[in-house]
Amino acid sequence: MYNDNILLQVDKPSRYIGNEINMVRKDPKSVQTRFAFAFPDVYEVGMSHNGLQILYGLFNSRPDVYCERVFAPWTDMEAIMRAENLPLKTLETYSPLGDFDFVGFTLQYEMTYTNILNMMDLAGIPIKAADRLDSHPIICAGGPCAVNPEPLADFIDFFFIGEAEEQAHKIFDIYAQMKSGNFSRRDFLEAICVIDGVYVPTFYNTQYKEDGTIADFVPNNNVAPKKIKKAIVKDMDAVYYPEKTLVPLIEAVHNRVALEIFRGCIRGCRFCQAGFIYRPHRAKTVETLVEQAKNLLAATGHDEISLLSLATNDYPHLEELVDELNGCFVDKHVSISLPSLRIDAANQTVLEKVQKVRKSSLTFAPEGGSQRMRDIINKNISEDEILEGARVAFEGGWDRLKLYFIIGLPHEEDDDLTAIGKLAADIVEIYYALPKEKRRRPPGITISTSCFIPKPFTPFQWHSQNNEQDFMEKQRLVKRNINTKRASYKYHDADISVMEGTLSRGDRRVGRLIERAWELGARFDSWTEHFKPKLWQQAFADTGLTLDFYNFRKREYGEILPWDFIDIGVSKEYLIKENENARPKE
Amino acid sequence: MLDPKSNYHRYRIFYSKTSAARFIGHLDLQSFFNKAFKRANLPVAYSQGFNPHQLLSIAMPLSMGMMGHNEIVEIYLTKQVNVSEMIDSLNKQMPEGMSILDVKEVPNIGKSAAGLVHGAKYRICFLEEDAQKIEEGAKKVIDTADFLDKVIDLKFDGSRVDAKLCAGSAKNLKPQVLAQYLIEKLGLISTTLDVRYERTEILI
Repeated sequence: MYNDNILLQVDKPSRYIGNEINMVRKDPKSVQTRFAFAFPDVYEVGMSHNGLQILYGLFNSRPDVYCERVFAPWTDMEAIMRAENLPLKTLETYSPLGDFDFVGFTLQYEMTYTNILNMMDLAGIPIKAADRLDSHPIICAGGPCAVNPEPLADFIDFFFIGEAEEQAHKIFDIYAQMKSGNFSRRDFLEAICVIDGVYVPTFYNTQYKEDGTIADFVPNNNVAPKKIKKAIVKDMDAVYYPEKTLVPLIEAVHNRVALEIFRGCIRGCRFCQAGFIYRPHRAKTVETLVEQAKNLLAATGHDEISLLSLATNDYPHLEELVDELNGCFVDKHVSISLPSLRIDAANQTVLEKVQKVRKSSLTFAPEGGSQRMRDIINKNISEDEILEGARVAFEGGWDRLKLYFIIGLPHEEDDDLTAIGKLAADIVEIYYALPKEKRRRPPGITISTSCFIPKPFTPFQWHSQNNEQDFMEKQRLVKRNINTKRASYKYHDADISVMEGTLSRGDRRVGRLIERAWELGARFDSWTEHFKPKLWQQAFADTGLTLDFYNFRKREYGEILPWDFIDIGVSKEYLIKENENARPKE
Repeated sequence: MLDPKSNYHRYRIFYSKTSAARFIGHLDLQSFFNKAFKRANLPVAYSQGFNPHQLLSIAMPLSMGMMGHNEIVEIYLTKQVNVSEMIDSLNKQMPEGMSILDVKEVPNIGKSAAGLVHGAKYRICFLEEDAQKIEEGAKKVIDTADFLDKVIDLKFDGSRVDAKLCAGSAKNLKPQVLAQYLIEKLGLISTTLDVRYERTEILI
């Protein structure tokens, strides 16, 4: 543990202590493989992430592996670590990352990339794969952003694309075999690069055309496959799910049992990366879920179960599941929450059942303000359905609604933006149409807009992104057209969204940009209070890369995109067809 | 209306909070206990109303980083339970640095432990280099302190001070105030960051 003088000087010392309920304790000397699961954001954020809980449990279920955790130290702690020359350590055994066989970063959002470099540097590990020796840990990375791994290609030894629950065992088995003999890092990487989902960037070369686009992307190693196939778990009932999860001793962003009810999405919203990269749709049975909920509640003591998925009401047995969970837990002061709910009149009975225990606020995501825009993005929901959904929610006693929209979408016109305020006003009107005894207090509507970021493997991946000024102009237009006092407006920072746009669709050269921004001091870029646009502008200037090329340019269908070598399970032809279908009818 | 608590059973739980666990803050400790009681499967009583919460109260907040050797939390249960079984099952739910020392059933009416607190015992350790200054001068400077009426008893032993201080809503003195005073008046080498505090007992 860091000494008292340090811990008493930093904000929330528990971030650096571990010792949580259900923390796994093993003797590091008794295992063959030590794995540091690295979450490149602050503790409270990382500990709320369900993927961490699954992989931590899964890896530690192997007697030959000890998986520990490490998070990005907050800036106050980093200052002390650098001043006193203290290496970054794991929470379980306070071991420096350099002691591990693997350090595995989870890539949940692009704006954590500078933190990845920073964590390696704080651990004394060379940030570039080419500079590391066999004595250094193998640096790997996985998670949704790994579907375009290229911006991090210089820093990571291997990526894992897709779902790791089954393939991870193969990787650990090969490592164990090779560790008992003599092996080099290269031997190991060659041995695993044929496993579904594994991508070893150093085995591939990229060549560029004069206009900057990619001319060629080919393996330079005979064993390396031309296409990398996303790894998929087939049977969601049989797949590993933890019986115990870590319970932090300080408040995390989410303090709840997370019940993953299905993976994938049956919808095809054209802006939504998750909707494409997590396919196919695979649900767990009610029986499996109830069993998992019982185990997890008993092991954690949480008082909330959250049903996780990309669209909760697409779960085929939602009503039955909620009934079963209510039956098991209603006397035990456990509430059920349904994030990712679609507005849909069919929800009425489910909403009623959820509210039996405790009401959480409801979040609806129409995404587009006008019907025209909702058709462009393939949201498949009509104005009437939205209003009916709101009425059902109000009738059920919810009077706080959050509405999510995206601005800057392809083919957008001013009318699509002004429609957002109009929709909010119509929803407020629905509330006041209720009989008086059903209205406890004035309703509260929160309108949130995020900025459209074209993402790899979506039908909109070829589109240009708005620039910062466009986004801010549109935010003002939305705000001016909200004419009800009962609605408040929040919007996502345009400058951060533009940077995310670069990192999302970047190629290998963007690694230099990330490295330069980190050298200049960029950290915690997803945090408004830490994001420093000037550093990134400087990094663009120093590297000669431009937003015009990565963000504001329309890509042609014929262009080789940096992520084309990954087989995500959806064909390029399908994405093109969907992009064409999005064109508004004249 | 009859107070629903009259049907419940009140338990006073004595516990220690040291090593890594001493960095759990007061609010986080409350939610830690909420979950620990649930994991231990105790028949915890809840408040009435829109957002029911466990009828749980921590007698006295403990500063971040301070060790507590005999802390108190009270909980209402809907049923009577075997006290030694309760100690065992709760101890299984404690992280490193916390253990349940004792549990007593107390009458379910009357003041809570938080309302009964009138004092607390602390052990305050300065850097060893300060032993001589403290032994020679501490008593004298304390006699002229404006918080003297809140000091119940002091024992000096080298660089260590065992202090019994007033606590609770009527009169309250934090050990940090006492330590800061000694640092200033005696010109100690210790800074506020060097001083270590332990709460050895809560007086109720």
